[in-house]
Amino acid sequence: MARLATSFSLKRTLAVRFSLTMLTGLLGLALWGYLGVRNTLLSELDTSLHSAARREVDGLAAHGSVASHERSALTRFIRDINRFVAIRDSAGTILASNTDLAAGLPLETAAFRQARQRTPVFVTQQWQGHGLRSVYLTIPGALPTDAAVVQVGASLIPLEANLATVLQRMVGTVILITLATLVGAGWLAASAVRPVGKITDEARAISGEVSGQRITTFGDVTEFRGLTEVINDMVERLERASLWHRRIIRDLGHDLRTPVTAMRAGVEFALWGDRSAQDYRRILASTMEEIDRLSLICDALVFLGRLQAGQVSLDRVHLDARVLAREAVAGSEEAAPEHPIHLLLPKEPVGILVDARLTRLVLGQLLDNARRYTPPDSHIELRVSAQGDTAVLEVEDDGAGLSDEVIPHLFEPFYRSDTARGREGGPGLGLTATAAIVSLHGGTVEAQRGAAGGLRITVRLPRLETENAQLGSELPPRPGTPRSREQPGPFAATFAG
Amino acid sequence: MRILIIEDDVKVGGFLEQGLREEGFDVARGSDGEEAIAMVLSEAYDIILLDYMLPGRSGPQVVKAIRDQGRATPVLMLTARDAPEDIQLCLTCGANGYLTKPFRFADLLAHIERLTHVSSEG
Repeated sequence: MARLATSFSLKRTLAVRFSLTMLTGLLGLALWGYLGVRNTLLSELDTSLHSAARREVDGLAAHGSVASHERSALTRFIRDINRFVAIRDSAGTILASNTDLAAGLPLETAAFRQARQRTPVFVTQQWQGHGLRSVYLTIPGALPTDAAVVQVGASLIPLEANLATVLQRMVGTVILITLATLVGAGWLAASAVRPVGKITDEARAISGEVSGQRITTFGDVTEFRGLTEVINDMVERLERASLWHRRIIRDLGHDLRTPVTAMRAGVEFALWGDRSAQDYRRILASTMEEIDRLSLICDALVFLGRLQAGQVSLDRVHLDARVLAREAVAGSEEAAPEHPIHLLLPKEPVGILVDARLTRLVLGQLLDNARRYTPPDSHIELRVSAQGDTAVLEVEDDGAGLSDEVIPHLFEPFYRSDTARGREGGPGLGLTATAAIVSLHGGTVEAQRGAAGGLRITVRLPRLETENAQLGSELPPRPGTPRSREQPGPFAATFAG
Repeated sequence: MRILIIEDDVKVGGFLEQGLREEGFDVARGSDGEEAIAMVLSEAYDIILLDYMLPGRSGPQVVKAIRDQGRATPVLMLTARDAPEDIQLCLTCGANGYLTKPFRFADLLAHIERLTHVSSEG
């Protein structure tokens, strides 16, 4: 069994892709949440710092001096809750601070200058190996001291620690959700592809030995109904093709046995005892006829094979179907004068664009078939007519006809009813080739019971709306010499070409 | 011994007829199913060599018609069809044996000998 060079698990792929999608989404959500939390915390810190700075400024204004301020409750409060306060003069020098550490607060010159313009400025600096968030707030009005700007700072260590905790929990949550998604997606993917596995198992169980086996599972699931229908249709076509081929091989075997039997009987008769020269000549002539019959079968098979493989190219020419019909009738009556053909033609030309050689074969085969199954002087008609955009060529006889069971199989290879076959019959491929040739021209062929109870075969070809002048009144030359009655059929000389 | 050959292939039938005559048999020949039934009902034969595929009526149909008329003449079917269902049809219709085409003339003689011997013993 042929396998693809590479394969992958759809189930695994679906699960991984779904999980990756979920992971990406969760990471994005976590990043958005983290930044939001960080901004919120920072904003709250800034508000707190600004509030502390404002209180400091208000305290300074209330106490009137930096020294008295140092002992205020506010100072202790700020110290306890991570607030470093420094009061700077107009040059930026710290005049007072709430803690010894705060006495070393770094100065951000640009922020300090901007704050002097009476604008609170927030800035993050590095101090003592960690982040420090500060607000610079100018002190309005004149004080007894030289105090000009209040700087309130807060270490970012608690905030960063909180953010790290948030981030850690978010990442943990994302990982857990992703793992859960992977499991869930695997289950979903498995349930989605499980029918494929069951359908595969049923398809694998279909063998060429048992006919009628079909896929029945999941036929009620909308998504899989189309798949099972396609597979079942394909199996049916393959089954029909297989049956057809088996029948062809069997029937071919039967048809090959007939000439071989005649040849063997003749040769064995020749060897069974001493024969006269005349007997030997008769046996050799008989053997030659059977060899011709075998050749006909071989040629017909090759021709049919080429037709079915699309290896027969059409050499189309514009023709008047009436001209072809006249020629076919002339050829038929020349070969079998005891079977006159009645030709019925319309007054106007019936234009067709066909391969003259193959169309000639079709008409020859239809007339040959009518002669073969009717006694001499039977009424055989060849009618040509135009019906809209269709050219119709009909051959009808008044012979015994065929049963309704036989007619549908008439164009199948080697088909003959058990009782209708006569020794005059060809290999049972002529009508098959006829149907194939007509189909190649885009036409149809149909058999039915004729008005007089015989057989009527109707060929319909696309008709050309062509002026008389454009139609060829002269046909391409026929290959070979006129066929005699002893030759096995119209396809015999032409198939090999 | 009188043998009836029903074979629509003129050549096969002709060679069989000549060969059997040279072996000393009294041979009659027909070429289609209806003719076969008429010949069997009108004359007595020791064995019938019957082709499977015949114009008019098939070999099995001919055998059945003969048996339905009460004729017990041994029938050897000569057939190119050797599928199990074809052979079964031959035998269930009343044929006594079958020989698949193409066959050796010596095999045909052996079958004739066997069937007529059994028949005469029976």
